[in-house]
Amino acid sequence: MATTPKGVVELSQAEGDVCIPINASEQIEICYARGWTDGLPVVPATRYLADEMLVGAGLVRDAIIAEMPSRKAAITADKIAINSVLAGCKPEYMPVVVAAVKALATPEFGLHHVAAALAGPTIVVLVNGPIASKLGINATNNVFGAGVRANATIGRAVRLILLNCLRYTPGVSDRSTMGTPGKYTCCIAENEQSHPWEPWHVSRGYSLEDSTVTLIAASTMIQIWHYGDAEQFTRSVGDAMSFLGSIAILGRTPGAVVIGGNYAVGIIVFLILVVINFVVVTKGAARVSEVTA
Amino acid sequence: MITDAFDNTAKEMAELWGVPDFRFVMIPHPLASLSRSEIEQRVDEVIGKVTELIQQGQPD
Repeated sequence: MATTPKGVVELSQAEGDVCIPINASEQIEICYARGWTDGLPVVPATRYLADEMLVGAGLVRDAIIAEMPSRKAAITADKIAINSVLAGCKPEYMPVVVAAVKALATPEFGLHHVAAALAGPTIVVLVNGPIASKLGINATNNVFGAGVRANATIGRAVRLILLNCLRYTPGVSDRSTMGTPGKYTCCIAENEQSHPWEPWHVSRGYSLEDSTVTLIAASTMIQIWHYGDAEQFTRSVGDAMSFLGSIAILGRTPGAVVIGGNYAVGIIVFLILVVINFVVVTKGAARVSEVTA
Repeated sequence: MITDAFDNTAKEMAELWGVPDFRFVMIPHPLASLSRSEIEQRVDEVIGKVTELIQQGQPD
């Protein structure tokens, strides 16, 4: 270990890029200097905090969670833990972040296209099942907005992993022309009790008791207001999804409709066709307790 | 082969894979909005460079 003139102790690269927060503000500046942030201050990752994250997921440091050959990267549990600390996650959020990383790595998601494309989509992390309410992931008012730790930090951890582990650096490997604010963070849950339809993950073949993570690459988000009947509502949705210049028209890609409350409808337009489901924990409450023990 | 909007990305990928001098053909962006005849025109414009690259190969 080396001691800097300011008395801040740094661990070597070989020990996993963690910091000892002798002085928190200086450690935050070190994280900026090392390029570990998304532009906002991060929580300096100590070995202790990272290990707490691993306990939260029931994983060992060198467990390989996902391999991405195109990026010459194998993402270990420790790297996910460190970036989750940086993002401000609690240890109990780790199973969701781990599932999201696994989903990122599936060939069907086409991560390189999503992460590098000019359209610069947000990666929406949609959480279903019991774990959403257990972790307090917002599924109601201001669901895409700021204010709830779980939503803010889970989505942020995913983005930090893209930046720090997969090196999708803006302007180099991330070629977004405009980007979107959702690239800082975007994590929501479905309010499964509030509507008459089956929840998203059930429609995809999972049971109500399963907890899942779905990634949605969303290039555009449009909010519309509607007060008419069902037919008028459908017309409004169709009209909003087919605006001139929409990537959905150019690429003939589908959209997703998020319906919230009586008066406002948010629409997410997909950049790519594929939506990936990934099971956070499989089958029921017993397995949840195994992972979080 | 890449489009010029992704020149930095291609260079970064080459460095990531340990072949920083990897040669590739670069064509104008975009492709997705081109008609069939425009694509065929692009092919005519670039085929010479592609052939030359294949014949020359990559640096050792």
